[in-house]
Amino acid sequence: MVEVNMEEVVRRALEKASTLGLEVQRGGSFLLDESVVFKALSDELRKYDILYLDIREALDNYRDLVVEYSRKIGIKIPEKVSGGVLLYIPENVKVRDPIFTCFAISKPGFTQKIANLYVVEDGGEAVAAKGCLAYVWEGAHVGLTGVYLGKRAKLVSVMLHNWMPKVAVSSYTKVLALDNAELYEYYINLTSLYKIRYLVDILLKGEGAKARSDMVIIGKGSSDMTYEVNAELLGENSSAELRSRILGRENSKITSKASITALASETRGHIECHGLLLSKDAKIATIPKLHSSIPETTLTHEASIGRISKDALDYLMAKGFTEEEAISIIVRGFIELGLDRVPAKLRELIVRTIDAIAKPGM
Amino acid sequence: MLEVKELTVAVENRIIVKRASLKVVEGKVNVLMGPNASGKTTLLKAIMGIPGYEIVSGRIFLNGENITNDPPWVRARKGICLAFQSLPKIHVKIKHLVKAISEKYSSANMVSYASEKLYLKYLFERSLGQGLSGGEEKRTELLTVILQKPRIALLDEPDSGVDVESIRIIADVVNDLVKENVGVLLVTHQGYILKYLRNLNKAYIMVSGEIVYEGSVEEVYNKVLSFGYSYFKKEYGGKKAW
Repeated sequence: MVEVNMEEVVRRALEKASTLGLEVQRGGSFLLDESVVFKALSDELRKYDILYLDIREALDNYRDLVVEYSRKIGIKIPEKVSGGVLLYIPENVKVRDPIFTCFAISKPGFTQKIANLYVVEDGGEAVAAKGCLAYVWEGAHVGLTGVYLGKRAKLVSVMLHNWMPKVAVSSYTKVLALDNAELYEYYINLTSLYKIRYLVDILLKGEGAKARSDMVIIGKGSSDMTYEVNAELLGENSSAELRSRILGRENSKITSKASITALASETRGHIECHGLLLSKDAKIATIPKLHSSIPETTLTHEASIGRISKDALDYLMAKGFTEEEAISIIVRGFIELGLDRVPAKLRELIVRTIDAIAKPGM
Repeated sequence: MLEVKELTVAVENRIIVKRASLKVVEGKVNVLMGPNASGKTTLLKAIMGIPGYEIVSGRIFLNGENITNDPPWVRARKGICLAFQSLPKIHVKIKHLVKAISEKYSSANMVSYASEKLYLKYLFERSLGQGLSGGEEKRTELLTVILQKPRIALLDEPDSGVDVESIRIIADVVNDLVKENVGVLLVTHQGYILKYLRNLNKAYIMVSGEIVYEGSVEEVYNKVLSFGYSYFKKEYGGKKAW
């Protein structure tokens, strides 16, 4: 087993970048555009046989690997993309600190096409922290991500979206998990956008494979948002837990669909979707679906949509909080989901994010 | 001192409390007793200024200042606090509520001591009002009271639905508050907690929305135990809420 000390890797990568004349703050995100930093980090990780490459370079130099795993997952990585990464973690190599990747739309009206492939071989571990953002008012982002988790592999994937009001987003992720593999996905968005279609299919093919998805969806402005997460329990004793918290502000329209299909015995699944409407013009739809023809399975769901109750507001106002402060406390509590699962090194970032979302007037 | 003068309170246009007058003296436990649905909680919520508890007439004074029209958060910041009978269900972890209150009242240094005294530390990761036992809810409320550093504490049935051990813990905290010169108005049904409390002042009996009797806690409590609330209803009230 090989444990990778990411702090050391990042330190060496930044040192190398700075010797090439690039000033980079530690702890920040790595932009693909910052090719020197990315290359330096990639070189450092290579020492552990980890591949962390621009997907275009991966298609040029590791085509067989890309094709092989894409086929296993059931996706096709397009030849022409604007960017994306290949992250390949070899067998029994464990990277428990986050590897940051950030995709930014920086040209107005640009359609960004991203393809990512994450492969964690048997017994490997990785934490992928992804940020997608726009510096410009309008544009489009089309993303395709394939995830392969070998036996006993673990992947924690944290995604943060920070778009602009006229950005359209279409994102598809497909995950294949083998025996006793574990996936934890955390998603949060901060800002309004024009439209998003976000789809995740998780195939828990192996015996004892586990997936958990926590999504914090913030509807703002006139955002039109559709999120869908589907889990198929194909391996015996596999399990999935899909949870979401949806906040409807202003004129936003949010649809959150989640489904779990049990196709093997001794499987378990749970869906939990809660929506909180903070505006009379916002709309939330939650659609949980459970499918099973296997008697030896336990599937459950709970869902709710509502406004902040008068009792809750009264209670907090009696404790000395103004109505605005009380709403902020309630919102903050509502969107705090899954923090216990987010690795400590990312938790602070997520806490800052949810604090900002809950702030009065946000 | 909190002074309630001739307070009439309506909820959804229906008068629930009629011309109630009472005083809450600092450094003393003042008691409000009465049967179910007699208007005790309504009176407390009106004193706290909770929206929907409309003061039709009468006034509320805190140390001589008329606070009748202040919103609840202003009353709270002036030193009145209310321990609710039951907690609302909110997705807010107790630790976050505690943090927000202690920041508001500069009482962060009291959190550790108070939560240990109330045996609450283990609940901090739980959400408010979700899956807490009766005793846990009451103790959580008392923690918020301590952290508010109040001058007047309105405690709505802190002893109902809790076990004997919890009643002792709660009584201990009430005694500590009083020692700190806090004026307590304690609403209780069965009064079991009274035997653990010190510095008892005056007790009021509320029947059908009206305070019909007042006297020393000992005298009033003995009458309640001997004759029940029906005695007060028959002798002094008996009218339905108007």
